Amino acid sequence: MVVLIIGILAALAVPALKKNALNARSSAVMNDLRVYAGAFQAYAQEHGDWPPGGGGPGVFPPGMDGYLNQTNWSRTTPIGGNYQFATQTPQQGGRYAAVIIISSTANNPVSSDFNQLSDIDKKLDDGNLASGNFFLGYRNYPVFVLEH
Amino acid sequence: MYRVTTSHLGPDARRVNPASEDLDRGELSSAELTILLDAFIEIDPAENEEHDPHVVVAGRGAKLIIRTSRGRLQVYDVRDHAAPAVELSVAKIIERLDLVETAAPFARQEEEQPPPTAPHRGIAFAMLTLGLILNGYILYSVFYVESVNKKVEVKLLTDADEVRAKETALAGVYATGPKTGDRVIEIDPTGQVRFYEMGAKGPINDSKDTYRIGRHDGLLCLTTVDSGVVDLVGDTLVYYKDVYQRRKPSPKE
Repeated sequence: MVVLIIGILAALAVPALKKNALNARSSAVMNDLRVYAGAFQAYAQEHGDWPPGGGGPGVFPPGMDGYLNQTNWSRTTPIGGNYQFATQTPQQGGRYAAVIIISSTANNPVSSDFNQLSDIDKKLDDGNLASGNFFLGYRNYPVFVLEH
Repeated sequence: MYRVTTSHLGPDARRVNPASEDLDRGELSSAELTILLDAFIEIDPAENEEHDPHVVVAGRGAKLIIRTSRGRLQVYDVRDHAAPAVELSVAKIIERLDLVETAAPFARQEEEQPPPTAPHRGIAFAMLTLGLILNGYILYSVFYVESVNKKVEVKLLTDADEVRAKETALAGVYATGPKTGDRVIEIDPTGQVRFYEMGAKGPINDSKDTYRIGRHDGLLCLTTVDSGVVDLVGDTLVYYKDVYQRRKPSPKE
């Protein structure tokens, strides 16, 4: 009887807790990407071009001082991995002028949870991980397009 | 017949006798027992209070301790000390002493409950099973993650000569382009493969893996331990839909 009651209570509570955690992570990633996109676009407007790419995951893009918080950029993302700014990057057969990628690093893999990534895509884009401005690119790392 | 012992009672059981600890009165008939208990009821209340006289009667169905209070008989079951006293008439006491097959009338409720029967055990087992299944499902749903990295079924080449020939033919450097941001795959004929991206200050996202050659969906491919599958299309590699052209060795190389 006790086992059954625990099971019923857990069955009611666990999915809700899991959904809350997933929602919180999605919202945090969405917020980060919007803030960072705004910062890169502000730089591009002032300088007439994107900042130089070619930095690794978590590496602060050169010239972004005053636009972007270095500490926030370099920390682990809410879904694991690190943010990476890239220009002229090949992704899924196309080439993109400027993107933010969430890349895995050593001992810090980015989430491969389909539900988590789909939830971010629904909140941020078209809900399809194969299309739009948020999609899965190289090694299924999430990519957020700033310019095609 | 009833085995009777009195405590602190005189010979007629009508008076208290503190000196008489336990007096065995032998086997009494129901008529004799009735006379004794009728006399016992009339005992002086003050003496009764002070010396606690009582009668112990054993019959076929029960062994009872009988005390008196305000002209009534208070009956205790010897087998159940925790049960409260029950007030009974002499006739009812005799009836109780003769009652062989049933439990004491003032026994605790739980003692009267029948042992669990098969249907009860069945329900308990069903509830336990249901609980375990539910808990199992919860654990599964907590830890199960549907991954975006789908596993590709690759049939490995088994002919050693063919594998060696393919490894030698495939060895080389492949890239999506020559600029910063392009990616490179270096295949070594010994079964090692290196992935990296051309960064501003050298390779970034640099990783090494081992590969084996196989086929999936009719395509020749490299299957790696951690990096997924690299397809071979003509003289190019296709990895996550990006095409990697073989880079010609420079004069320096």
